Amino acid sequence: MRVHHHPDCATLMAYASGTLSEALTMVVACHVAWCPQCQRELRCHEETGGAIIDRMEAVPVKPGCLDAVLQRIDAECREARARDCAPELAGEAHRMGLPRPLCRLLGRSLDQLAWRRIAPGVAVYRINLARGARGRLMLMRIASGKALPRHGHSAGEMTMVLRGAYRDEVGRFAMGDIADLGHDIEHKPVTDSGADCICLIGSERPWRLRGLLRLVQPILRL
Amino acid sequence: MTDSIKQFQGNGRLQDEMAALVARIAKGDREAFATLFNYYAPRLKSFMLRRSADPETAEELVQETMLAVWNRASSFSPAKGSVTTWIYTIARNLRIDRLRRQPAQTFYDIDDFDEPSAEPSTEERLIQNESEAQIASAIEALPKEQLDVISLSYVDDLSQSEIAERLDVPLGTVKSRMRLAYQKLRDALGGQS
Ligand SMILES: [Zn+2]
Repeated sequence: MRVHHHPDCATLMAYASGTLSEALTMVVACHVAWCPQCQRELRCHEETGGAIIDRMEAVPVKPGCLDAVLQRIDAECREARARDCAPELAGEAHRMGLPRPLCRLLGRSLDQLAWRRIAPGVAVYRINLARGARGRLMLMRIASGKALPRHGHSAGEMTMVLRGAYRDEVGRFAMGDIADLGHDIEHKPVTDSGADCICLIGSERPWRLRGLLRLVQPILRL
Repeated sequence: MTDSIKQFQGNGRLQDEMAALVARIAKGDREAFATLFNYYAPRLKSFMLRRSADPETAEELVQETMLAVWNRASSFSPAKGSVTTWIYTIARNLRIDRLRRQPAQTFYDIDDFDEPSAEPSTEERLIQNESEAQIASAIEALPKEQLDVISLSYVDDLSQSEIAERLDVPLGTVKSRMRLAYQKLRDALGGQS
């Protein structure tokens, strides 16, 4: 896969430091799973985090801390130790054509989801995040040859293409590409492949359904 | 041991020592685990405390992190990064999962990518150690305003807009300071891309 659009480096740094909201973290994690370039960049940001741990002033732990951990080691069954489901999940994610983090979250392929049609050619699926997680996550499926009306984005929104492609003023976004646009860009996306375009959309703020309805309203009138 | 660890710090050999400890831990060596614990637990506690955990929670998260280190020692590969970075990612993820009160496992761990995991050659190890020493000194060399932004993000766990608020500068300024800082850190790693 050739990825052309990557998250802003400040976004990757926020991801590495753990300060990005869970919804955006998910979108970035999905991109990173498919993008070797960002895997390397991210590693570099995480090295910064590691170097910062080394710089931390040491605060003594309670006297019994090590013993407590050793006791928990004894208590846990041995098989828990080698627990590593990563390779299995990798295969499953590959079969489903999903990035690993999303595969873990959805547990099934994009075609098996209960899509909700909100306009001709447009369907959405809202992904539930853990209680206490920040932000909102949604999948949007736009039929081939469909254009969305021109619209802006609020700060803290990111879109990643999972399947198909779309084109807008910024360029062409295909599988794996991420649009980390910021709030000052308006665009008018048009699907740009023979197939449906499915995107993962993360938003930092609670989902503004009204905004979403406004987005599809012109389509409803078509 | 603590003294010898201190001595190695900064010349890149600390992480070599640490990687050797993790290899022993993977084989069930508790003495090696205690040594690693004595170095990292107090730093992790400090890290958790700065990230606004109360002392009780900080101590719990230190335990959880070190337990994960024990359980996953065999999946650690020096080719993918330093021990410190590995432990950092474990601590970061556990803390986030704790905040959510649910194991959502959104994050990739450093050992969770589809990358070749062959043992590094001596040469690769040297390069790796080199780059850790370089990133450490690059952090020291950052201008104060860039270092502030980096530590507020990594240590104090503030989002970019919170940092902007704290420093009373526009969000764009925070972003550009982060980019500048990152550029320097990346240059320190030899501009690998
Ligand atoms: Zn990328």
